[in-house]
Amino acid sequence: MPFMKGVAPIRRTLKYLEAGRLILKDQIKIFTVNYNVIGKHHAGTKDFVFWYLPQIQYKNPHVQIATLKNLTPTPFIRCFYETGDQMIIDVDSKSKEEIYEHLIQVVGKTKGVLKAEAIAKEKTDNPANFGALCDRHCICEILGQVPCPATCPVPKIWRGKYKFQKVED
Amino acid sequence: MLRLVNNFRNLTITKESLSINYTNYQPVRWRKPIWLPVAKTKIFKVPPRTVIPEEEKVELMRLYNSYRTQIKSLRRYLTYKYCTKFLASEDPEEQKKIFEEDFARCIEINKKWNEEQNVLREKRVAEELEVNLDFARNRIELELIKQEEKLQKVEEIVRREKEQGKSFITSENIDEAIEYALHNSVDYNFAIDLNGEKIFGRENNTQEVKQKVSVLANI
Repeated sequence: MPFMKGVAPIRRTLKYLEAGRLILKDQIKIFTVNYNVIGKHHAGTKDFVFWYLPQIQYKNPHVQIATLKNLTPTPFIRCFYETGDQMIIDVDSKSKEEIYEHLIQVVGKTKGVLKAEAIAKEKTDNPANFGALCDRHCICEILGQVPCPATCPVPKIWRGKYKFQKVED
Repeated sequence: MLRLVNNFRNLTITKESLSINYTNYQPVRWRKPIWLPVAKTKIFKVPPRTVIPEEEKVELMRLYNSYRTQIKSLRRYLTYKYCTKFLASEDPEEQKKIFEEDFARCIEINKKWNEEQNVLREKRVAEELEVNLDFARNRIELELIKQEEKLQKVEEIVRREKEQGKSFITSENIDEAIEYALHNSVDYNFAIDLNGEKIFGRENNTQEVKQKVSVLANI
Protein backbone atom coordinates (compact mmCIF):
# COMPACT_ATOMS: atom_id res chain seq x y z
CA MET A 1 0.00 0.00 0.00
CA PRO A 2 1.47 3.37 -0.90
CA PHE A 3 0.34 5.16 2.25
CA MET A 4 1.56 2.64 4.85
CA LYS A 5 5.21 3.60 4.58
CA GLY A 6 7.96 2.82 7.04
CA VAL A 7 8.44 0.41 9.89
CA ALA A 8 5.47 1.37 12.05
CA PRO A 9 3.15 3.47 9.85
CA ILE A 10 0.73 3.98 12.74
CA ARG A 11 3.10 6.76 13.80
CA ARG A 12 1.98 8.67 10.72
CA THR A 13 -1.76 8.47 11.46
CA LEU A 14 -3.58 11.59 12.60
CA LYS A 15 -5.16 9.78 15.51
CA TYR A 16 -1.79 8.75 16.87
CA LEU A 17 -0.26 12.20 16.39
CA GLU A 18 -3.18 14.01 18.00
CA ALA A 19 -2.81 11.74 21.03
CA GLY A 20 0.55 13.33 21.93
CA ARG A 21 0.64 14.72 25.47
CA LEU A 22 3.91 16.61 25.56
CA ILE A 23 3.44 20.25 24.53
CA LEU A 24 6.71 22.06 25.12
CA LYS A 25 6.81 25.46 26.78
CA ASP A 26 6.78 28.50 24.50
CA GLN A 27 10.32 29.50 25.46
CA ILE A 28 11.86 26.21 24.28
CA LYS A 29 13.19 26.56 20.76
CA ILE A 30 15.49 23.54 20.29
CA PHE A 31 15.10 20.01 21.59
CA THR A 32 18.03 17.60 21.10
CA VAL A 33 18.34 13.90 21.88
CA ASN A 34 21.80 12.32 22.05
CA TYR A 35 21.98 8.52 22.01
CA ASN A 36 23.76 5.50 20.50
CA VAL A 37 22.19 3.02 18.20
CA ILE A 38 23.80 0.05 20.01
CA GLY A 39 23.88 -0.38 23.75
CA LYS A 40 21.53 -1.77 26.38
CA HIS A 41 21.37 1.49 28.34
CA HIS A 42 20.52 3.41 25.14
CA ALA A 43 17.60 1.13 24.21
CA GLY A 44 15.01 3.17 26.14
CA THR A 45 16.03 6.43 24.47
CA LYS A 46 16.07 4.76 21.08
CA ASP A 47 12.49 3.56 21.59
CA PHE A 48 11.50 6.99 22.87
CA VAL A 49 12.82 8.59 19.67
CA PHE A 50 11.10 5.97 17.52
CA TRP A 51 7.66 6.18 19.14
CA TYR A 52 7.24 9.58 20.76
CA LEU A 53 9.25 12.02 18.65
CA PRO A 54 6.63 12.19 15.85
CA GLN A 55 4.00 13.12 18.42
CA ILE A 56 6.21 15.78 19.97
CA GLN A 57 7.05 17.38 16.64
CA TYR A 58 3.38 17.33 15.59
CA LYS A 59 2.33 19.13 18.73
CA ASN A 60 5.26 21.58 18.56
CA PRO A 61 5.72 22.45 14.90
CA HIS A 62 7.88 25.50 15.63
CA VAL A 63 10.46 23.70 17.78
CA GLN A 64 13.62 22.37 16.15
CA ILE A 65 14.04 18.72 17.15
CA ALA A 66 17.35 17.00 16.40
CA THR A 67 18.74 13.54 17.10
CA LEU A 68 22.50 13.15 17.43
CA LYS A 69 23.57 9.52 17.15
CA ASN A 70 26.68 7.62 18.19
CA LEU A 71 28.47 10.53 19.81
CA THR A 72 27.95 9.90 23.52
CA PRO A 73 28.66 7.11 26.01
CA THR A 74 25.40 7.79 27.89
CA PRO A 75 22.15 9.11 26.41
CA PHE A 76 20.78 12.53 27.36
CA ILE A 77 18.20 15.08 26.24
CA ARG A 78 18.92 18.79 26.04
CA CYS A 79 16.44 21.67 25.75
CA PHE A 80 17.52 25.16 24.70
CA TYR A 81 15.47 28.13 25.85
CA GLU A 82 14.98 31.51 24.23
CA THR A 83 16.74 33.21 27.15
CA GLY A 84 19.87 31.10 26.56
CA ASP A 85 19.29 28.67 29.41
CA GLN A 86 19.71 24.95 28.90
CA MET A 87 18.15 21.96 30.59
CA ILE A 88 20.06 18.68 30.41
CA ILE A 89 18.17 15.50 31.27
CA ASP A 90 20.13 12.29 31.85
CA VAL A 91 18.14 9.32 30.53
CA ASP A 92 20.59 6.46 31.01
CA SER A 93 18.87 3.04 31.26
CA LYS A 94 15.35 4.51 31.43
CA SER A 95 12.35 3.18 29.53
CA LYS A 96 10.54 5.32 26.99
CA GLU A 97 7.50 5.79 29.22
CA GLU A 98 9.61 7.00 32.13
CA ILE A 99 11.40 9.48 29.90
CA TYR A 100 8.10 10.75 28.48
CA GLU A 101 6.50 11.26 31.89
CA HIS A 102 9.53 13.09 33.22
CA LEU A 103 9.62 15.36 30.17
CA ILE A 104 5.94 16.24 30.59
CA GLN A 105 6.66 17.18 34.17
CA VAL A 106 9.78 19.21 33.52
CA VAL A 107 9.53 20.83 30.05
CA GLY A 108 5.87 20.45 29.17
CA LYS A 109 3.14 23.01 29.69
CA THR A 110 1.18 22.43 32.88
CA LYS A 111 -2.47 21.35 32.77
CA GLY A 112 -3.61 24.75 34.09
CA VAL A 113 -1.82 26.62 31.33
CA LEU A 114 -3.23 24.29 28.68
CA LYS A 115 -6.76 24.76 30.02
CA ALA A 116 -6.43 28.54 29.97
CA GLU A 117 -5.13 28.43 26.43
CA ALA A 118 -8.04 26.24 25.33
CA ILE A 119 -10.54 28.73 26.78
CA ALA A 120 -8.77 31.67 25.17
CA LYS A 121 -8.84 29.83 21.86
CA GLU A 122 -12.60 29.21 22.20
CA LYS A 123 -13.26 32.89 22.83
CA THR A 124 -11.42 34.01 19.71
CA ASP A 125 -13.06 31.19 17.77
CA ASN A 126 -16.60 32.72 17.82
CA PRO A 127 -18.44 31.25 14.83
CA ALA A 128 -20.84 34.19 14.68
CA ASN A 129 -18.04 36.51 13.59
CA PHE A 130 -17.51 37.47 10.00
CA GLY A 131 -14.67 39.28 8.34
CA ALA A 132 -11.02 38.76 7.56
CA LEU A 133 -10.02 35.54 9.36
CA CYS A 134 -13.45 33.99 9.72
CA ASP A 135 -15.64 31.53 7.83
CA ARG A 136 -17.82 34.23 6.31
CA HIS A 137 -16.07 37.07 4.64
CA CYS A 138 -18.92 39.58 4.37
CA ILE A 139 -22.21 40.37 6.09
CA CYS A 140 -24.04 39.58 2.85
CA GLU A 141 -23.18 35.87 3.40
CA ILE A 142 -25.18 35.71 6.64
CA LEU A 143 -28.79 34.43 6.54
CA GLY A 144 -31.40 37.15 6.86
CA GLN A 145 -29.19 39.98 5.66
CA VAL A 146 -29.34 41.99 2.44
CA PRO A 147 -27.80 39.87 -0.33
CA CYS A 148 -24.59 40.92 -2.04
CA PRO A 149 -25.11 43.89 -4.38
CA ALA A 150 -22.76 42.09 -6.78
CA THR A 151 -25.45 39.40 -7.33
CA CYS A 152 -28.70 41.35 -6.97
CA PRO A 153 -28.58 45.15 -7.29
CA VAL A 154 -29.84 47.15 -4.33
CA PRO A 155 -33.01 49.28 -4.99
CA LYS A 156 -32.24 52.71 -6.44
CA ILE A 157 -34.00 54.44 -3.55
CA TRP A 158 -31.46 52.95 -1.13
CA ARG A 159 -28.45 53.99 -3.10
CA GLY A 160 -26.74 57.13 -1.98
CA LYS A 161 -25.68 58.19 -5.45
CA TYR A 162 -29.35 58.17 -6.64
CA LYS A 163 -30.71 59.86 -3.52
CA PHE A 164 -28.30 62.78 -3.46
CA GLN A 165 -27.85 63.26 -7.20
CA LYS A 166 -31.60 63.25 -8.11
CA VAL A 167 -31.33 66.76 -9.55
CA GLU A 168 -28.95 65.60 -12.29
CA ASP A 169 -31.23 62.63 -13.10
CA MET B 1 -39.38 31.37 2.30
CA LEU B 2 -39.01 29.45 5.54
CA ARG B 3 -39.49 30.57 9.10
CA LEU B 4 -38.70 29.07 12.49
CA VAL B 5 -41.65 27.66 14.43
CA ASN B 6 -41.56 27.78 18.23
CA ASN B 7 -43.30 25.13 20.26
CA PHE B 8 -45.19 27.32 22.68
CA ARG B 9 -45.17 24.56 25.24
CA ASN B 10 -41.55 25.17 26.07
CA LEU B 11 -40.85 28.80 26.70
CA THR B 12 -37.09 28.38 26.49
CA ILE B 13 -35.16 28.05 23.26
CA THR B 14 -33.29 24.80 23.69
CA LYS B 15 -30.68 23.26 21.46
CA GLU B 16 -33.23 20.66 20.36
CA SER B 17 -35.70 23.29 19.18
CA LEU B 18 -33.01 24.82 16.98
CA SER B 19 -32.19 21.50 15.35
CA ILE B 20 -29.54 21.03 12.70
CA ASN B 21 -31.96 19.17 10.41
CA TYR B 22 -34.32 22.17 10.12
CA THR B 23 -37.24 20.05 11.44
CA ASN B 24 -38.80 23.14 13.04
CA TYR B 25 -38.96 25.14 9.80
CA GLN B 26 -42.30 25.95 8.16
CA PRO B 27 -42.73 27.40 4.69
CA VAL B 28 -44.31 30.91 4.44
CA ARG B 29 -46.57 31.39 1.44
CA TRP B 30 -45.62 34.93 0.40
CA ARG B 31 -43.10 37.61 1.28
CA LYS B 32 -42.62 40.66 -0.87
CA PRO B 33 -39.31 40.51 -2.81
CA ILE B 34 -36.82 43.10 -1.66
CA TRP B 35 -36.65 44.94 -4.97
CA LEU B 36 -40.39 45.54 -5.42
CA PRO B 37 -41.50 49.06 -4.57
CA VAL B 38 -43.97 49.79 -1.75
CA ALA B 39 -47.62 49.08 -2.78
CA LYS B 40 -49.75 52.10 -3.77
CA THR B 41 -52.20 51.48 -0.95
CA LYS B 42 -49.44 51.51 1.57
CA ILE B 43 -47.25 54.47 0.48
CA PHE B 44 -48.89 57.07 2.72
CA LYS B 45 -49.76 54.70 5.50
CA VAL B 46 -48.76 56.22 8.81
CA PRO B 47 -48.75 53.61 11.54
CA PRO B 48 -50.23 54.91 14.81
CA ARG B 49 -47.81 55.36 17.62
CA THR B 50 -48.24 52.73 20.30
CA VAL B 51 -49.72 54.18 23.46
CA ILE B 52 -48.64 52.55 26.68
CA PRO B 53 -50.27 53.71 29.92
CA GLU B 54 -47.92 55.45 32.36
CA GLU B 55 -48.14 52.88 35.11
CA GLU B 56 -47.50 50.03 32.74
CA LYS B 57 -44.60 51.94 31.23
CA VAL B 58 -43.03 52.38 34.64
CA GLU B 59 -43.54 48.73 35.48
CA LEU B 60 -42.07 47.62 32.15
CA MET B 61 -39.03 49.85 32.59
CA ARG B 62 -38.47 48.48 36.08
CA LEU B 63 -38.63 44.92 34.86
CA TYR B 64 -36.44 45.58 31.86
CA ASN B 65 -33.85 47.40 33.95
CA SER B 66 -33.60 44.66 36.49
CA TYR B 67 -33.30 42.04 33.74
CA ARG B 68 -30.62 44.01 31.95
CA THR B 69 -28.59 44.57 35.10
CA GLN B 70 -28.76 40.86 35.84
CA ILE B 71 -27.58 39.94 32.33
CA LYS B 72 -24.86 42.59 32.41
CA SER B 73 -23.55 41.36 35.73
CA LEU B 74 -23.57 37.76 34.52
CA ARG B 75 -21.65 38.70 31.41
CA ARG B 76 -19.09 40.72 33.35
CA TYR B 77 -18.63 37.92 35.84
CA LEU B 78 -18.08 35.36 33.10
CA THR B 79 -15.69 37.65 31.23
CA TYR B 80 -13.65 38.15 34.35
CA LYS B 81 -13.68 34.44 35.12
CA TYR B 82 -12.66 33.21 31.70
CA CYS B 83 -10.76 36.04 30.07
CA THR B 84 -9.27 38.54 32.49
CA LYS B 85 -8.21 36.01 35.10
CA PHE B 86 -6.39 33.76 32.63
CA LEU B 87 -4.96 36.53 30.52
CA ALA B 88 -1.16 36.58 30.71
CA SER B 89 0.12 40.00 31.68
CA GLU B 90 1.51 42.10 28.85
CA ASP B 91 4.32 43.48 31.01
CA PRO B 92 7.60 41.85 29.87
CA GLU B 93 9.09 42.10 33.36
CA GLU B 94 6.15 40.21 34.78
CA GLN B 95 6.37 37.56 32.07
CA LYS B 96 10.10 37.16 32.67
CA LYS B 97 9.49 36.74 36.37
CA ILE B 98 6.84 34.09 35.82
CA PHE B 99 9.09 32.24 33.40
CA GLU B 100 12.01 32.38 35.80
CA GLU B 101 9.99 30.98 38.69
CA ASP B 102 8.66 28.16 36.58
CA PHE B 103 12.12 27.45 35.21
CA ALA B 104 13.61 27.32 38.70
CA ARG B 105 10.94 24.86 39.81
CA CYS B 106 11.54 22.61 36.79
CA ILE B 107 15.31 22.79 37.23
CA GLU B 108 14.89 21.57 40.81
CA ILE B 109 12.85 18.56 39.75
CA ASN B 110 15.34 17.79 37.00
CA LYS B 111 18.28 18.11 39.37
CA LYS B 112 16.83 15.47 41.68
CA TRP B 113 16.19 13.18 38.73
CA ASN B 114 19.73 13.70 37.45
CA GLU B 115 21.21 12.94 40.86
CA GLU B 116 19.30 9.66 41.09
CA GLN B 117 20.39 8.86 37.55
CA ASN B 118 23.99 9.65 38.48
CA VAL B 119 23.95 7.04 41.23
CA LEU B 120 22.45 4.37 38.99
CA ARG B 121 24.81 5.21 36.17
CA GLU B 122 27.92 5.06 38.35
CA LYS B 123 26.78 1.68 39.65
CA ARG B 124 26.25 0.35 36.16
CA VAL B 125 29.59 1.68 34.93
CA ALA B 126 31.39 0.14 37.94
CA GLU B 127 29.75 -3.22 37.27
CA GLU B 128 30.69 -3.12 33.62
CA LEU B 129 34.22 -2.15 34.55
CA GLU B 130 34.42 -5.15 36.91
CA VAL B 131 33.22 -7.46 34.18
CA ASN B 132 35.78 -6.05 31.76
CA LEU B 133 38.60 -6.35 34.30
CA ASP B 134 37.69 -9.97 35.01
CA PHE B 135 37.71 -10.70 31.34
CA ALA B 136 41.09 -9.04 30.97
CA ARG B 137 42.52 -10.96 33.92
CA ASN B 138 41.30 -14.25 32.48
CA ARG B 139 42.91 -13.43 29.21
CA ILE B 140 46.18 -12.54 30.90
CA GLU B 141 46.14 -15.85 32.74
CA LEU B 142 45.51 -17.78 29.57
CA GLU B 143 48.30 -15.89 27.84
CA LEU B 144 50.71 -16.65 30.64
CA ILE B 145 49.83 -20.32 30.53
CA LYS B 146 50.38 -20.35 26.78
CA GLN B 147 53.71 -18.62 27.14
CA GLU B 148 54.80 -21.13 29.76
CA GLU B 149 53.85 -24.02 27.54
CA LYS B 150 55.77 -22.48 24.68
CA LEU B 151 58.74 -21.98 26.91
CA GLN B 152 58.63 -25.57 28.02
CA LYS B 153 58.48 -26.80 24.47
CA VAL B 154 61.44 -24.68 23.51
CA GLU B 155 63.36 -25.87 26.53
CA GLU B 156 62.60 -29.47 25.60
CA ILE B 157 64.05 -28.92 22.14
CA VAL B 158 67.12 -27.25 23.58
CA ARG B 159 67.61 -30.09 26.03
CA ARG B 160 67.36 -32.68 23.31
CA GLU B 161 69.85 -30.80 21.19
CA LYS B 162 72.20 -30.45 24.14
CA GLU B 163 72.00 -34.16 24.76
CA GLN B 164 72.73 -34.88 21.17
CA GLY B 165 75.52 -32.35 21.29
CA LYS B 166 77.43 -34.58 23.66
CA SER B 167 78.09 -37.03 20.85
CA PHE B 168 79.22 -34.31 18.40
CA ILE B 169 82.67 -34.63 16.95
CA THR B 170 84.64 -31.46 17.72
CA SER B 171 88.19 -30.53 16.79
CA GLU B 172 89.44 -32.10 20.07
CA ASN B 173 87.67 -35.43 19.49
CA ILE B 174 88.53 -35.73 15.88
CA ASP B 175 91.63 -37.95 16.27
CA GLU B 176 89.88 -40.28 18.68
CA ALA B 177 86.82 -40.34 16.47
CA ILE B 178 88.87 -41.32 13.43
CA GLU B 179 90.66 -44.06 15.42
CA TYR B 180 87.33 -45.35 16.71
CA ALA B 181 85.76 -45.33 13.27
CA LEU B 182 88.68 -47.17 11.74
CA HIS B 183 88.74 -49.88 14.40
CA ASN B 184 84.95 -50.34 14.76
CA SER B 185 83.54 -50.57 11.31
CA VAL B 186 79.75 -51.01 11.21
CA ASP B 187 78.58 -53.83 9.08
CA TYR B 188 75.16 -53.01 7.49
CA ASN B 189 75.17 -56.11 5.38
CA PHE B 190 73.33 -58.36 7.86
CA ALA B 191 70.47 -60.73 7.49
CA ILE B 192 67.38 -61.04 9.69
CA ASP B 193 65.92 -64.37 10.61
CA LEU B 194 62.22 -64.98 11.40
CA ASN B 195 62.51 -63.91 15.04
CA GLY B 196 63.99 -60.59 14.04
CA GLU B 197 67.52 -61.47 15.08
CA LYS B 198 70.32 -59.96 13.00
CA ILE B 199 72.85 -62.37 11.55
CA PHE B 200 76.23 -60.75 10.86
CA GLY B 201 79.12 -62.20 8.76
CA ARG B 202 79.35 -63.42 5.17
CA GLU B 203 79.88 -67.10 5.47
CA ASN B 204 77.44 -68.15 8.13
CA ASN B 205 75.35 -71.13 8.69
CA THR B 206 72.17 -70.41 10.56
CA GLN B 207 72.95 -73.13 13.08
CA GLU B 208 76.55 -71.98 13.67
CA VAL B 209 75.61 -68.43 14.50
CA LYS B 210 77.22 -67.34 17.75
CA GLN B 211 76.64 -63.66 17.62
CA LYS B 212 72.95 -62.94 18.02
CA VAL B 213 71.90 -59.38 18.34
CA SER B 214 68.20 -58.81 18.74
CA VAL B 215 66.82 -55.81 16.85
CA LEU B 216 64.06 -55.46 19.39
CA ALA B 217 66.62 -54.96 22.17
CA ASN B 218 68.13 -51.97 20.38
CA ILE B 219 64.85 -50.12 20.10
